[in-house]
Amino acid sequence: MKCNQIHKKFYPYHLGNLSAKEKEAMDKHLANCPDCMALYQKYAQTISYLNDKETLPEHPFYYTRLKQRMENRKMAPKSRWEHVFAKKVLQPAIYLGSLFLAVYIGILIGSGTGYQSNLSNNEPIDEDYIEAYAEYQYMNDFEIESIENVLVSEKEGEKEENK
Amino acid sequence: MDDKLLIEKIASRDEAAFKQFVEKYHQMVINVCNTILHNYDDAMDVSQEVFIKIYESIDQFRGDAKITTWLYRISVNKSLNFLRSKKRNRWFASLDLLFTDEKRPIDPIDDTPQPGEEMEQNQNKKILHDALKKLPEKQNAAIALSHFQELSYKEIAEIMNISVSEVGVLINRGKKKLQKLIIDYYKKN
Repeated sequence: MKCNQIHKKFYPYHLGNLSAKEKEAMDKHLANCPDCMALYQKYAQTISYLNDKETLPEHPFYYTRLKQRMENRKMAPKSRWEHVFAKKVLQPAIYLGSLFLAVYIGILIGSGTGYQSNLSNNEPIDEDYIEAYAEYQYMNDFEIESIENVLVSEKEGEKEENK
Repeated sequence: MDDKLLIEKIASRDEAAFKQFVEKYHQMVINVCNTILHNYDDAMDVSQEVFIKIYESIDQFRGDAKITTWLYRISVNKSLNFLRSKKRNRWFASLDLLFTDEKRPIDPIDDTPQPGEEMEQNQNKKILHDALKKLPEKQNAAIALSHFQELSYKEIAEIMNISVSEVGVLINRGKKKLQKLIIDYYKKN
């Protein structure tokens, strides 16, 4: 028998519920395998406490405590319901809400912020300003005519006026 | 005063009779709860709930069953309910930990050093109780009533409201699982 098969039979072996043939095989294996033997000893020691009837002592102020608890419950029945409501309804609701919020925030972070998503929209861009800018360019006299020409023309104008 | 008379008096809200009843049975109830819950403070807490339930619903007690059977049944039910709510709370507590920075253990382990043999005994008991805690609730309760309370399969069946053969199945499966849990523990450690 392999070690794992031996381990499975610890409990019936401990109780003496194995057949003579199986018991013999177990004995033989345990005698030749120190690891299984050590494991069995630990197991047997632990499982033996299952039959250990542990009796707790009497509690001297048990009734007084019980009465106090009953009085408290009588005095504050409303707060008890509030407590139950808070524990069984409100708390799960808050946890669920925060969970959804966390998931929502996670999705938002994953797909980019709202500002970024506006920029990445493929809506047609208003290009009117280009034309307006082009018109404005021609309105700038300095760009069409150099400043020297203006000064010259102004001087010529003054001469004509003097004449 | 015999139990029947005691119950009649409790039903008519006789405080002295209730006190006598509690003093007579509280040790038994605490022990039953403790064998299922494996925690003294929780057992004290649940046992008080058992007596409150008895005081509130004493009118529902049918005289055909033994008072101890009724007490056992309420104790087992209350303990199993407590384990269920504790499991739920543990789930929420794990969520609590997600939202807090402090990493604090849910069940602090007592690491106080103890002298040799006693320490080994306590360690073995702890391993057994930890393994029992990991069993499904009903298997844990059936094993506890059978071994720690030394009740017969028939009594356990009456208390847990199941058939005698089901008790046998629960205990058998529980012990197989218990064996696996203990062996796995020692293999890991």
